[in-house]
Parts: sequence; structure tokens; C-alpha cells
Amino acid sequence: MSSHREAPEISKDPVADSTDVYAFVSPDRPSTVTLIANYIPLEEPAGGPNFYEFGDDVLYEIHVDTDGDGQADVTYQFQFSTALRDPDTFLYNTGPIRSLNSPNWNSRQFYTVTRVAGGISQPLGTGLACPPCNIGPLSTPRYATLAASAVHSLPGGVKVFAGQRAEGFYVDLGSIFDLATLRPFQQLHAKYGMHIFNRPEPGVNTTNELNVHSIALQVPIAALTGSSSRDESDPRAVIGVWTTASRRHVHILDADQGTSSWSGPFRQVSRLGNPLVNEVLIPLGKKDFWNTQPPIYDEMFASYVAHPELAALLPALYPGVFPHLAGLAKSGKPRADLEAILLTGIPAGLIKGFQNHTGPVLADMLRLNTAIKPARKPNILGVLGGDLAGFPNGRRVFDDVVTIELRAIAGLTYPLVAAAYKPDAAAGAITDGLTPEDVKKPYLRSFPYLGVPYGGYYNPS
Amino acid sequence: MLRTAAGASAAGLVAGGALAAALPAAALPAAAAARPERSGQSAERPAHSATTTPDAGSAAGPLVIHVRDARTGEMDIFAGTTRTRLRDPALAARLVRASQ
Repeated sequence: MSSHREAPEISKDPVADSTDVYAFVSPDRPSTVTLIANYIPLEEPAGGPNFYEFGDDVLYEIHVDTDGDGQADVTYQFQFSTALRDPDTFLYNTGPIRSLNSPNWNSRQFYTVTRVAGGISQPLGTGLACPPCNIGPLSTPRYATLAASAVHSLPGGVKVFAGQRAEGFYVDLGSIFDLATLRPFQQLHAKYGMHIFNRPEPGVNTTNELNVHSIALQVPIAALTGSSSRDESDPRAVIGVWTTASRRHVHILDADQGTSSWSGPFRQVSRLGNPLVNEVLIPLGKKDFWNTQPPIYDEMFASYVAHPELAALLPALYPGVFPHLAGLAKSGKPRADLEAILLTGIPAGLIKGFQNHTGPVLADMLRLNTAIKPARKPNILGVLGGDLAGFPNGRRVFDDVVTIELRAIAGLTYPLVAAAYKPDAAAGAITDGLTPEDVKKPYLRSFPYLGVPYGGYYNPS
Repeated sequence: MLRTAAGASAAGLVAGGALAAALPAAALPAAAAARPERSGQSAERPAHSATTTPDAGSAAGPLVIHVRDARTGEMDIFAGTTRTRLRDPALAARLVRASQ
């Protein structure tokens, strides 16, 4: 998946497990950017009696680098606290929840938002209410309206939302991790001598009808870049975005009191910038370590981007389908195209009218050129599809990042740095066979853009 | 459920023979070698700007001593959102004796 359960240790800690990061110029408020960090992977909608919630003991952060050094210049911090109205009932709610202050809602969650810049912490909001989870038609009637009331306006033209959303990321996980058997091409797979697949089949969206917890922020562009009217060729228009989750050093389980307490500084346990980097490029033995590191140190992981294991596997798994990629992988030449896409941004001059370059520092950040306006007719393949407002120029909620990265790894983007290279025909066709049509809940046209979460009464159906 | 992915457990002896103990604050003697590290100002946190935690420096909650090496007396003291590294072989020896 994008980054769901992508590393051994964090896979056991769902509330601190970042799953996706999005950053895009808001289509309905183009003077702002929307930043979304998703946590808690693969939430089954029927989550009772303890419905999903953020970790009260986790520090969630969205970082923005505005000068390309791989370090945060602006950080938004989110800390949550859960309040029980009645600890003597086992119920999440004792009647319909029709408002955020409903007396029927027993287990409520609130949060603070703090902006950190230049070493100064500025509280933006406290006691902000999360919406409840989408339980069902009796417990959470008119859920969409109820959840919309949890969009809070903060000083400085900032909007914030933190709560459950429908999973918008689509991926055929079952096929990809069954030895990269992409269903639309499964008949071409080597199949290890097992004659199982004789014809192509459509992809299956593993994350369909599941929810996540989103932290969504909408911020004026000028508050990050100093101006909302920069030219797209201006390096100052480019921001780098990533999220982290951190936990305290020490967790004490007091058996005598039946309580937990924490001590010590926060330490980072989860990180996410570009989708699929830790999931697909970083080797198993280093994934948890990668999660603890800031982007500024990503040079130590750069070889895994420059020489991706999957690029060498594809020709072996699909014999005769990727001959040019096989030659490229065998040559040992570093994949400067992937380094540009994922670690430095794409310099000016490679794609007409586009750059999101942040300089020589190798850092996994989602880079967004905020001067590029939202597309009127978005293409889910983003820059690969000629839509400069999509991934890897930031990432929108509907972008097909799996196909984009599969094609890039398969060599489709290598001509950006080596004009003489001719990609295999398959590099322009490879996909896991999914589109936003495979996401049952529609995306929203306005903040927070991810769809209304699936309710527990009707899902799974 | 203990879910501290990168932290040290305070539940007792931990890997490598180190000793961790939770103490009331009054039990901690002054230590000349104490070297406080506030959240985010050391390798505890990456060198990005997200360093000031909302309750940074708070002394609320338990005080925890993690004896990293009983032989050298190297230990960490966790209090609030701070970690202090100190070296006190005599204190370490007392804690080890107290744990036995």
C-alpha cells in the first residue's frame, strides 16, 4: 500500500502508522494549499465497541520545508485527548449522535493544533472536536452533515479537520504482493512454473469500503511561501511536505492502578512523504530505521531509489516484456529520474512549464509547486498524463500513484535524464488495473476532500 | 498494550543488562554529570523544526531512570518530556542492588 503497515514495527502500532500524505493547491480555494496526513490503516467500518480514534499519546505532525534543505520550516502539531462522559457504560454512544456536543455521545475526542516556525510555538486552536466514527443510521444519522460541522476555522484563514474518512487510496495489494502478479498482465507473469493465469483480469481494490483517520489542514499559500503570486519557475513556490508520528520514550503500565503513563521526549516512529518509498524501495531490514529519520538524512537511503529492486525484478517476473528495462538495470546506471522525482524534485527544463526542484539535498518529501493552478480536467496520472497539477507535483486524493510509480520504475521516466533511452512499450501500460471508479465512496469537491466514511451498519455489505 | 516503538520499556530489566526503574522525583540525587536533553534538541528528535512539544519540560508524570550500563553508571533520567543523560556509578550500583 502507499504506506499502510509498511514497516515491521509500525505495522503493530496502527494509531501511529501514517498511511498517506496529500498536498495540493485547493481546487475550490486556489489561494490555499490542502495538506492531509492519514493514519490508522484499514479500518473496518464496524469497529464497535471501541471505534477508531487517534492516539492520545501520539504527537502527530505535518512538516513543510520552504527552502529545500530537507528540514521543516513550518510544522503543524496535533495532539488529541479523549473524554468519556460516562465511564460506567460499555457504549460508545447511548443514543443518536446528532451534534458534536450530543449528550448521547460517550467517547469524544478533542485536539489542539500548534504551528511551530522559527523555534516559536503558536497555538492555533484548542479543544477542537473530532467527529464520531460513522457507526450506522441509528447512531450517527445525517453523518455527512455531522462530520462537516467538525471542519474548524482557525486564525489566519486556516481550516482544519481531524477524524474518520473513507479511504481514498486504491491499490490491488493482493496481486502486487503475490510476487508482483499484476492482474491486467497476469498471463505474462513467469508464474514460477505454475500455470495458473491464462488471461488478464481487472484489478481488485483491496482498500475499498475501508476507512482511515485523516488530519487535514488548509493553509493560505502565502503563509508558507511568503507570497501567493509567485511564478511557477520561482523555486520559492515549491514546498516539501511530510508527516511524522512520535511517541514518548517510556510507557509505564501501572498494574496496581490500572493506568498508563508516559515519560521522556517524543521520538519519531513513523514518517511519510512520497507514497510507496518506504513500502517498495526501502529494504525490510531498514524500514523501521527509515521511519525514525528526518528527510535531511535520506542520502543514506538514496541507493535504494537509484537502484530499485523492483526494476530488476520486473524483467525477471515478466520474461520478454521489459527488455530495455532489463538492460538498464543490468547496466548499473543510477536511476537519476527516480532520484529527481522522489528526492530532489524535477528541475526546470525537463518538462515544459514545470519544475518542483528544491535543490541538491536528497530528501523524501512530497514536493508541490504551489504556483501551478489546479487542473480543470485532472488526469489521474498527473504529470505523466500531462497534468502538471498532479503527482509528483504534490499529490491529490484521486491520483493513481501506484500506476505512476510502477511506470516510472519500469523506465517510462528515464528519458527525462537519458534522451536516448527508449522505454519498453509495457512501461507505458503497466498498472494494477484500478482507477478512482474502484473507490465506492466519492471524493468530496471541497475540504477535506476525502469521502464520507463508510458506516458500520451497511459495510461490509 | 505497550506500543512504544522506539522507546525503552520501564517494565523492568531490558536487553543488554540495562536496568530501568520508575522513581518518585524526590529520590533523585543531584548528579554532577547530568546533561539534560530537552525534546528535539538532540538526537532524540530529528533536527527539523518540529522540536517544541506542547508540554516540553513539564515535570508532570513519572520520573524514570534507565540504567544503560551498570558498570559505568551511565543512565538516562526521563521526566516530563526531557531526558537527562548522567554517569553515576555509585547510584547505578545502588539501583542494581535495590532491584535484586
